[in-house]
Amino acid sequence: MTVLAFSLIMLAVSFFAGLLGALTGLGGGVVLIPALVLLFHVNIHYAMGASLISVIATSSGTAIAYLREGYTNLRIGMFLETGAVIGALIGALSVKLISPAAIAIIFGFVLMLSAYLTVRRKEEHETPLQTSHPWATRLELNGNHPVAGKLESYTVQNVPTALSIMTIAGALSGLLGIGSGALKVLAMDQAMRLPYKVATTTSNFIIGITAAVSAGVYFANGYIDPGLTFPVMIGVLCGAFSGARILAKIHNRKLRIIFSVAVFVLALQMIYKGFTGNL
Amino acid sequence: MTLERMQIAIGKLLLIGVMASLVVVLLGGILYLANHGNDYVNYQMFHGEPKQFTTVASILSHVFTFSSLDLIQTGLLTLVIVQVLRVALTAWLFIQAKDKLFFLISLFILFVLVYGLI
Repeated sequence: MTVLAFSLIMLAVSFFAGLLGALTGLGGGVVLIPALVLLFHVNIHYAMGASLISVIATSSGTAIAYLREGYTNLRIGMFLETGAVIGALIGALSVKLISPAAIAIIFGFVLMLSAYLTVRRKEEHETPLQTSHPWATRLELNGNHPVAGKLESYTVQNVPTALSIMTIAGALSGLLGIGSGALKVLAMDQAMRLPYKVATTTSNFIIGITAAVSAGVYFANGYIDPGLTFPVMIGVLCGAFSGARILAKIHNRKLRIIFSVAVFVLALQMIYKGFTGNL
Repeated sequence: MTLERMQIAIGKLLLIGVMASLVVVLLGGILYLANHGNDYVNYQMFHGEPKQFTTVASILSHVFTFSSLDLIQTGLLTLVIVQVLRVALTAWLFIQAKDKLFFLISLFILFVLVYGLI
């Protein structure tokens, strides 16, 4: 088809991917790649490149909005990034060595995991622990977060575990061209036992760094195509912003579940495609 | 400088960066559609990008050819460069706050970032 037609379609698809990503809290990448690959038969490498760029764009654009709410913890973020960037470098460099079919299968499973992580019940941790992991104290990772108008402090646990999870998250980010936000939140929310909003905003804040590490490798390997990425980046940005606005108005958990089921179906299709070797 | 103000400074850099990138990408994109809107494309096959779109040096050196695709690629690269700048800024802010450890942590991340680009 023509460039014009294709670009307009990509713009629309990316918009919905960004929208769905924002509404489910999964981020644009995980929804975008299956959409491009399954519906439009875009080669998976180009799709990964476009997705990675969109992740950087979206997280950069939304960072300041979250920062102003006062939940982000810069130290925790930067500390955990040390693991994530190493993982990302390894992951990105490995893409060349792994077949597209295998990537699709891994992608499908990671997608399902992300969907599951995002939907499960998020209760606030019961009685907050009084002391932090020794590393956390040494690195001054503890912080405050606003609770009902006042500042409450929180402690930080399981630092080495969190760092390991972050490294894996980084590797998946590099390998699949996604942000791995769900895994990063897992590291902070479950391992470090941070308040949920601290985990999500900090994750969003640092995701761009991880993606940028992989992007360098992706550029070099020729995965980032300007003609494809340009409508995708713009579409995802607009979709994500619209999604964030809508999300502020509807806190409906049922809707999240419906969307996540849709994502789950996409995941299954990716795995299926990988196995039937149509990539 | 408090942690909060450091974060806000970084956030502002990110926002400005993404807007700059958006402008360049849009410019290139519109030019691309204007000049090549009726060409045919097929993204099913992976050919890899021509060399000029793949390294920092070559992307930036081609920007003044005003080829639409080069413009777009420069805009996309800007996004990555903004991340490098933001980590550099973070390192600088930490050393200003006399936080040697986090200055070093930021430096390490900066190193990995630049390594990935080269």
